[in-house]
Amino acid sequence: MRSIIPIGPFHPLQDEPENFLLTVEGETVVDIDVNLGYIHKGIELLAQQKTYDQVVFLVERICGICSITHTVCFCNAVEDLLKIEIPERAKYIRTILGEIERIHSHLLWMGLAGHFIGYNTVFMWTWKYREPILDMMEILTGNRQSCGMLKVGGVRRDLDNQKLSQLLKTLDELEPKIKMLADAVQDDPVLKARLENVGTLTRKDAIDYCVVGPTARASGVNIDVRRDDPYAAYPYLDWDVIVLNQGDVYAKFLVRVLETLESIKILRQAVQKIPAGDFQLQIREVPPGEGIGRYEAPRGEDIHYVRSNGTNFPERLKVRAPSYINIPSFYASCINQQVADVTITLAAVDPCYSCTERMISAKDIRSNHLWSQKDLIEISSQKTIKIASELGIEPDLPILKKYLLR
Amino acid sequence: MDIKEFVEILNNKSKVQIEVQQHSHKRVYIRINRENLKHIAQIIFRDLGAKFSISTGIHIREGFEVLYHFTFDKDKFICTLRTLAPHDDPVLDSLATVIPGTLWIEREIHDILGVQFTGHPAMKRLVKSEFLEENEFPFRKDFNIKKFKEKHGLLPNSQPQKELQK
Repeated sequence: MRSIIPIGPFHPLQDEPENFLLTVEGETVVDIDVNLGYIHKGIELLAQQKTYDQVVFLVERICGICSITHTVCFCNAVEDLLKIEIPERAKYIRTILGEIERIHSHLLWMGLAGHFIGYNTVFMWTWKYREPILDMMEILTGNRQSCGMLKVGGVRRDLDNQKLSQLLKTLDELEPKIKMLADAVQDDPVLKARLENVGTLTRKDAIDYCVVGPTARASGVNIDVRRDDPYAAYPYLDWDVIVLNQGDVYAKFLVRVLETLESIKILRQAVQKIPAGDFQLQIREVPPGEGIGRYEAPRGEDIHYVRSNGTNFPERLKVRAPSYINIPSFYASCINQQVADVTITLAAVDPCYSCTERMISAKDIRSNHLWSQKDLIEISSQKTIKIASELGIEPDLPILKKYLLR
Repeated sequence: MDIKEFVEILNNKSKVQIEVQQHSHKRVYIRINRENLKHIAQIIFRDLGAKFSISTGIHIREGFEVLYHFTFDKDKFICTLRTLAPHDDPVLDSLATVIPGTLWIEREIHDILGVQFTGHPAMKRLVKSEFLEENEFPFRKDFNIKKFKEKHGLLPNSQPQKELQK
């Protein structure tokens, strides 16, 4: 017996509007359809009516989490068009801001993932660790988000060296906590049982659907724009690309935890190596031409294409956010999954609908019963509790409690 | 493989006429005829192992230009295929059967520019609002935003301004 479960226009996990129609046979998902466009803002068309300086502020508002991502990516595209190299100090400042953003974005996702499988301890902890990082952003730039630091040809304001040493102190406090989380995730049997072999995206599907970022790296595709098309100060720093082969939600979780540790490593080096000097170039005019900018966002490769016709306004700006290419992989990863696992599978790519630019709702055709967000989280939590009781463990992160008592 | 070698391999394998424009050591643009699009995309994606990043649709004087951006992550460059669908016959071959990653972007370009993709398995609206009719395409240069807003009553403060003028 087939029924269709509509999820949305509110996402069961991330409170952003989009619509997924799951066709289920009993408890198993056999087909999925995605509707988008609920928050289509017409940014690409708006950008054609603004000057290059104004577009920087416009693209910053594409997404609340990736505000640095889109601005640096746009600047990269225009700088590629102009064929210019920005000053060293500006490169380091861009790296520092980008990595702070990656840490807080990964911590945000881990918290949400924890919440949706009924592990509210993870949610509380990671969001607590996230606060000092956001505060650090405010100390450095003046705002926790959308700080307006970037401009074509460098950065708008300089960073205070004294405040950078404060960043090192925050990182020293954060690192042991992330390491503890990494250990706890790897040790915890319930988390493993709940996430392993769930929503597996095979390497072949990952390549066919052209997925990017942690979604691809968890499926054994070794790509990272920071290494493959270097921008900012990444070529001068020593760090590793985290690649795992399982492709399930557990691997995606682990990739993000380990990447957070890599980000801390990058930040330490960047603060140590940052040179003094000029931090911006004056751009007088933009000649006709084309430019492509790439950036490794927390969710994957972001790409902007700019075409100039010699005037002050871009003729075309194309924005491809990482979620846009990651979401269609649901066609591959959600089929033959249990309904209780779909919530976390849909969340595993860290979909950002502001970036991608419609809803998943669950409806049982026979009884005409609409499943709400609460119902779906409830189903998901119950499954965790069931697994925990089968394993004979109290279902709320026993390992974390062990660390807490130390 | 650098860009020079890549162009040579592409020339040998495809055996069709291509026009190469190298922007820098990391970016190359290749103009192709639309009949060869599927053939060349297959070589780049399947044989040479590139990743499809995105395509861009632009309305220009000659018609609708559609760009396909392929990234070569190991070789650190981007190859952009440039193809044209003329005004009187805006049709291109769909790449969705070769590259599943193009499923959404082809729907989007169809929404905003009205380019037809033959062979796409599920061509329906992706981002275009129900407000807009089938023959209205917001990214065409002849799309009149003011007229559209007037038609749907979206112009803010149009009434009060008229009163002030009187």
